[in-house]
Amino acid sequence: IFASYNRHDPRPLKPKKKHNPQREKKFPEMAASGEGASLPSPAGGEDSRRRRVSYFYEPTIGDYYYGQGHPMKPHRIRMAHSLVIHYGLHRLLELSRPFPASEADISRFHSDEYVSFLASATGNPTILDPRAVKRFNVGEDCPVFDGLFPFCQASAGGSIGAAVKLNRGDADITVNWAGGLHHAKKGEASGFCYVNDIVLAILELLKFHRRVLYVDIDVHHGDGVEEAFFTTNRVMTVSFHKYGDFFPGTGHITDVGAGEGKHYAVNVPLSDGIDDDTFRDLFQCIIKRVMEVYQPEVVVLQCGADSLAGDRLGCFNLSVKGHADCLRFLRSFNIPMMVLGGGGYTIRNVARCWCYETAVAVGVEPDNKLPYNDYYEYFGPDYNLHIQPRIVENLNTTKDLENIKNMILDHLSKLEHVPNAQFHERPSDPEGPEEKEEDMDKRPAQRSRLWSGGAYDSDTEDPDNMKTEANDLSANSIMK
Amino acid sequence: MEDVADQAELPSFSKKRKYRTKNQSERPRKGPTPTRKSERLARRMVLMTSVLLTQRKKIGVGEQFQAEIPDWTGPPSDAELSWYRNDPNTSKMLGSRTWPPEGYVVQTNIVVAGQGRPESCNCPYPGNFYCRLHHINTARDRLRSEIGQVFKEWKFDLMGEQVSEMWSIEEQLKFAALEQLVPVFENKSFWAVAAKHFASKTRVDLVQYYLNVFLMRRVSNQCRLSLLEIDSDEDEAEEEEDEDQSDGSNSSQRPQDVQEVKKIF
Repeated sequence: IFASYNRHDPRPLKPKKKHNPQREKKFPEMAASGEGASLPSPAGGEDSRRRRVSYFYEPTIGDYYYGQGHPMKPHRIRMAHSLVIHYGLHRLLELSRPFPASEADISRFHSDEYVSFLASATGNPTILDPRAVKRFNVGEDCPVFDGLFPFCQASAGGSIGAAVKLNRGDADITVNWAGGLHHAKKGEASGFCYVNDIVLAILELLKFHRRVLYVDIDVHHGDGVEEAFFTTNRVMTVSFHKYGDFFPGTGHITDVGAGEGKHYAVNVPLSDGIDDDTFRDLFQCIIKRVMEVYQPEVVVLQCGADSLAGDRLGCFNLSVKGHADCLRFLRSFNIPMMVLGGGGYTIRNVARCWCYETAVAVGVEPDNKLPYNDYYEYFGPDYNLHIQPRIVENLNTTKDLENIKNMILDHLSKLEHVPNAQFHERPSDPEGPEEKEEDMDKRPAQRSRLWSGGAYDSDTEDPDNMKTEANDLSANSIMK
Repeated sequence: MEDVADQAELPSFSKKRKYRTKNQSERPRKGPTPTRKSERLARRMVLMTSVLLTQRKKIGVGEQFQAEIPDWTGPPSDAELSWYRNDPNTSKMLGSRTWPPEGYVVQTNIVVAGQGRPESCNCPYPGNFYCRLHHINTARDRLRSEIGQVFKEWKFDLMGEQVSEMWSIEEQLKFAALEQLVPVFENKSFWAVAAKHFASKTRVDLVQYYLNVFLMRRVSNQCRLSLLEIDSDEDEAEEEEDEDQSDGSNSSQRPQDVQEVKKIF
């Protein structure tokens, strides 16, 4: 148990005072099975000391198959596991087989009709009610494949188990590479995700933690998680993603949450080709401020690996090291943390990334020369752990990034100005429920002729704020 | 960014395929149908089309979108923590611990982890196919002796080239040949065709072979022939089928799969 993160300590809601630098020096060396570190690290400081890491792995996960030509391959999780074990990282980990989440567990977030559909959609995938297929958005991106529900149960079971471990204080960091399926919605599948294991895990964490921070570095916006917690201040969601003619279409910088959750959603919209240095700078700057103003008691990090260079569906230019620096930075705050998978469609690089991030979680710097293992032939011609970024243009200009940074820091400063009103638990909706529902209603026939029928009413909470809709999506026009 | 005229132009997941995003018109309506603010806005928008340059999508707000958040009633008491730890429904979610196994003594502070392969070896032709094969087999044997029965629990005996041991040469050649024919299958699924030709193999067997043996050999060949491109992935050939390419240039890669099988055995 961390001395200063003992959940029995009532935590002050004011911003933390500066750490006493003297305390930082006396950091006890941690053995793999010994007591947890008991002193907070300086914010953002490098900290390679060990943590108690608990890792969930379902041995059958690699055999689930979305279908011919589908980019999502659970097989990548098995490849990552092979690397983890052949590097000997299991000697510093606790590894568990997850317990499959039940329909009841999954219904904790998802609608009953949707869960019943998923549970029954196994068997012969060709006998499906076409209305159900349409209603629950299964079919193309989210096909009904053999073993779909057990796959979801394993993914969600791992994340819920990871949350229980953290709640019990049995681990400092928990890992579930089969989790992180952040697009799934309450009543439908989306973006290759069916059950939102992240939401389920966070709901479990909320039993013992007042404030949960969710950080998402998948190249796609973490819409399912943001939506689930859009109106609460008990979960702050921070997503770094490609924005602009890119799935799923949400994640605009001015989407900050609603109602009591206003300013508790942070969206960092980025352009193609972002590299390690630019990403790191932006990430550390924003996360540092988030930590200061929000003071989460636990952090959930979605490590979608489609933000890596050369990803089949992605367009960023991060190396494995650059990607893992996010985990490393969050880890240095010495707060209980859950690490989850997510996207990632060039499977050899996904395996490299998640293997390396497992090592970072434990506090080990593995050799670059991959150990021999059963999937060795996937990693030629170099057979190295790390990858080179590509020679592509970074379309994120310095000016764009400055604007993004400033805008977000500005949003976050709104939290500091109202310190005591922040965490009210009153269920009242300050905007008025009637108005809200109208805004989010389906567009009438006229609207679908205006623009494709795909976009919602782009009104923000401020009904007179028509100017906002007029802004186009790129960051450099935000400041017009 | 212009108005999007066609729903197919909305952000789709795959850059190679034009999938529809969520079918939003299926979402249930809530409440009665008076003059909605959205309708008032729509009328205004007719006048402002030139100003509306966004196809921005919005997060749903309402009961059908948000999770139910429990109220925070303060940090859990010792009694609550104790109940939580002992509640079987909660503890079962911890799953079953696989490593370290019961009774295993953890050597603290002397653990070696993160070691990669050695710089050099004593193989007659270091770095060639047989050198790699030899070391992969050795690594597997070493792992098996280190972790004992957990080797099978984690299904390390069903990873990689080992899966091909349950397939005869003829079967492997037939599989590769069938896979080469994928472009001419049109609407038939490769798996449906394969199931017919491999009556003794289950769907799981076929998929296991595909992922552990076939795909890996293909990637290995592409490396060897320096054909591994930036965005290439193992399914590239199947995607070409979708895109209606009649370009036969990539088919020259396929015979390699068959030849690779011959070479191994």
